[in-house]
Amino acid sequence: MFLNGTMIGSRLALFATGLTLVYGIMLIINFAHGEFYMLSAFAVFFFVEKLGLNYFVSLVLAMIVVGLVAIAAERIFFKPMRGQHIPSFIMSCGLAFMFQVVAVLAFGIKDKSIDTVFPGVITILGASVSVERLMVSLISAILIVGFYIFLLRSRSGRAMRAVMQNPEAAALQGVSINQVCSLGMGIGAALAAAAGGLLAPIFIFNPWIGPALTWEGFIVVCLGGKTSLPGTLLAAFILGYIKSFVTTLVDPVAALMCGAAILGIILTLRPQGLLGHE
Amino acid sequence: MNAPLLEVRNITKRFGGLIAINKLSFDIHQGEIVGLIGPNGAGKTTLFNVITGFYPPTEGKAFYKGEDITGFKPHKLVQKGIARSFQLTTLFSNLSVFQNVVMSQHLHIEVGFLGSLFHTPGNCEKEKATEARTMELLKLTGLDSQRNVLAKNLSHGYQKILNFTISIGTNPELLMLDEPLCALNPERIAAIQRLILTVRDKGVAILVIEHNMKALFPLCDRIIVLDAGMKIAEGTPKEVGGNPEVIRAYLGGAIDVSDRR
Amino acid sequence: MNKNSWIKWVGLAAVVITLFLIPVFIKSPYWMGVFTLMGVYIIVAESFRYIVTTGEYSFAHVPVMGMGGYASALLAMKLGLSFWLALPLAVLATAIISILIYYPCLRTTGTFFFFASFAFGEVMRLCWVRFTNPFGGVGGLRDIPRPDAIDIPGLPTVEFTLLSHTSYYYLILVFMLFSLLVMYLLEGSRLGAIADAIKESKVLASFVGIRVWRYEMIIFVIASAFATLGGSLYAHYMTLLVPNEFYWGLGIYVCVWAVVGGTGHFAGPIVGTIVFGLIRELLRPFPQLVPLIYGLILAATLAFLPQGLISLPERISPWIKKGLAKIKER
Repeated sequence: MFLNGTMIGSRLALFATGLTLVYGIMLIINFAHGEFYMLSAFAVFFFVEKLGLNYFVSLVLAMIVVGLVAIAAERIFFKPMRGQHIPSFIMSCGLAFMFQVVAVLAFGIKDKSIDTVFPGVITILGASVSVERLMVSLISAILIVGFYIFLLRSRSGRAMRAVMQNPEAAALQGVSINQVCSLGMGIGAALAAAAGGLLAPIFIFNPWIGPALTWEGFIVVCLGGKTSLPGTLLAAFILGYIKSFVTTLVDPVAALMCGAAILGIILTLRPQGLLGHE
Repeated sequence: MNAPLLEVRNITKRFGGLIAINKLSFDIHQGEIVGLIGPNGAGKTTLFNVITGFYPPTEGKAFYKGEDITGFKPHKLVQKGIARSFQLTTLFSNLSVFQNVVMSQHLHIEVGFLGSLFHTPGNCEKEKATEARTMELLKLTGLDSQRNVLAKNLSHGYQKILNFTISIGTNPELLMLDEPLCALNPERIAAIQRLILTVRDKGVAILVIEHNMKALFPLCDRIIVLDAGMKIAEGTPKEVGGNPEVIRAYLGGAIDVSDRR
Repeated sequence: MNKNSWIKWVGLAAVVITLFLIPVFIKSPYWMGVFTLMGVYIIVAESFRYIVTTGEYSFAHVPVMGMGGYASALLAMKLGLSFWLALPLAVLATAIISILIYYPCLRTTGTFFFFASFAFGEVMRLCWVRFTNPFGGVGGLRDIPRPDAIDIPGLPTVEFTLLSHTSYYYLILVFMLFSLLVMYLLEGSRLGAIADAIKESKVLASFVGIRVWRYEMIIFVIASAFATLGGSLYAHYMTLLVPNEFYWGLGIYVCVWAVVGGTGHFAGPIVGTIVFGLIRELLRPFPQLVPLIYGLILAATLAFLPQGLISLPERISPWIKKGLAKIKER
């Protein structure tokens, strides 16, 4: 149960960090984020099952592919909407629809899954834990850490942080806003794609898993503070644990209700989230 | 000396560790024009925000005509007779000048709801009365030629005047103006100066935040000077202009305040 | 009345008469069903737009519609009330519930409002899934009774059985016209002017004495009342009510219909609902493509026609005038 929470938390963390990144840099709401996750799961499926590639290679390929798709989407569809919440949200809904249809046309409407990559069960502290889930949590953690290192150390990372804090000042310093936005979108999508690919062997997926996940992502983003990346991490794990516990102790629907209720309460009582600032 | 209209008593406002206003007290009397000056960051707009209900003071109280209005929300204050203009032009952007000023009379429109729903003849009469009053206000402030222009399409100067018109449209007894002369050319400044005096002559008390002291001082009966959230001087423009504390607060520059009274 | 409004009145009357005459020309029960549902959706889309007149986008609107359906259905099924009684009671009950839902949302605005309204709406919807006892859980409610027949002495009895497609069409037509009329009048009244002010600047609105939260709540409740109406009509028409119907999908569709149609004009959502409804029908043979086409239209409209489809005539008319002028020259 605890590990499940960790795993869910880390998946959410990957997913939601991407969402926060997109929002923070471009001030747009991307409802299609869940679709990036979904497309990646299908991409990994395609690479592994149809092309016979190694899982890890497929994962990386999927991240790249989805990232590129996202950058294209940003350039074509989101560019004029930067900073406008509602129009960008509606636009992203349109995109979500389109991605869903693409997935349906390419892969059909049936559920799919991928074979477990890390079979077996090990025992930790008296509880039996599937190696798969453990590895997912680990790899997620590695990716998140890697992302943070990128954000803090690399030049592009610093550029992104600058734009998140003050776009005009960043532009004056010579940062190309367009490049940063595209990069941000690409990386954000890649993170979601990573989550999708990592969880493909564990959960069944179909073209419509996007929206439910996107709403969860929004809950995490709002809970943590919309522009705060550490907040997103914290919130992701809090939500992951709560969901895991409530699902086991009560039932899955109650877990969803908890999530929705948390969103409502946070927004009305403390709109800046846990770690945000307003 | 009549009883004060507005009494501010020991208002303190803290934001986290920052003290924006520190035990500030002063009075405004009916028919007075009082200027509020101070260097940037002195807390002038914060004071307005506290009095007009944007956020409650950390400590202290405010009274209007003897009634405790501390923490009252904006719409309640407008009901009591306090109006405020804004530094950045806060307007109903997509409405015309005329519609903007009609809205400003919200509290005084006697149009009944059902009447407006079905456009009864009685309703039309009352609407005409409102429109007449709106035209009066527009003529008074010189906006009648622009009445059908959308607020967002007005020039900056006219937007400021519209802001001013809206605040007097609420029929206040106390008018709080936040930098009404900011970024205006000399003609406009003169126009607003005249408006301020006209409004005062109708019995309205006015509290004005302004940086343009040359334009402000001739209008005011009194000046209050704020620095770092505290009142450092209060008096007639001449007294304040010569006050060394005040000069020091503005970092050494002598303040040109030829008192034209 | 000047010439222009005379034309408008005549045009409007012509449209209404046509709507009443449709069943005379189109007998197919399938198309009756399509139009009937479209009528319901128009009520919901237009009342969604009513909320947008205050500047807020509510994602609780569709769950409220669902609540209306559930309330009306439960009153009819558990308490044995006739539809005609259940409907007004459902509107009342849901109005109260909508107050509870929107009350916390009043503290929020813009994106926050949008998410908060979604959150509370979703909590409500999940209640229908979780509490199988009154709400029927995932499977929902079945066998919701149709309205009782109208039996006015001297006039033929009007029945609403599962086969009476035409009479249900008229029922919804009447309710739809009523709802549109009320909302139109409201918008032209003081309440509409106040909503405009709130949308433009909440701050300034409160500084001219408008109690923003009070008027917002009034508008939300009125909109919810119409959503309830739509929900109840929907429930008793379909005789089946499933929680998943009112999930994000329908909420987004309603938003799309209203926005693509044009939230600036009263008739925008009507246009949007009809256009998308027709597209859906045209694409019956290819159901998978529906979201794709929806998405493309959505993207295209936002990019090229931000004020919605209803602004199309305005945009095109300068070109038409130029074209006509050129033809005259020759």
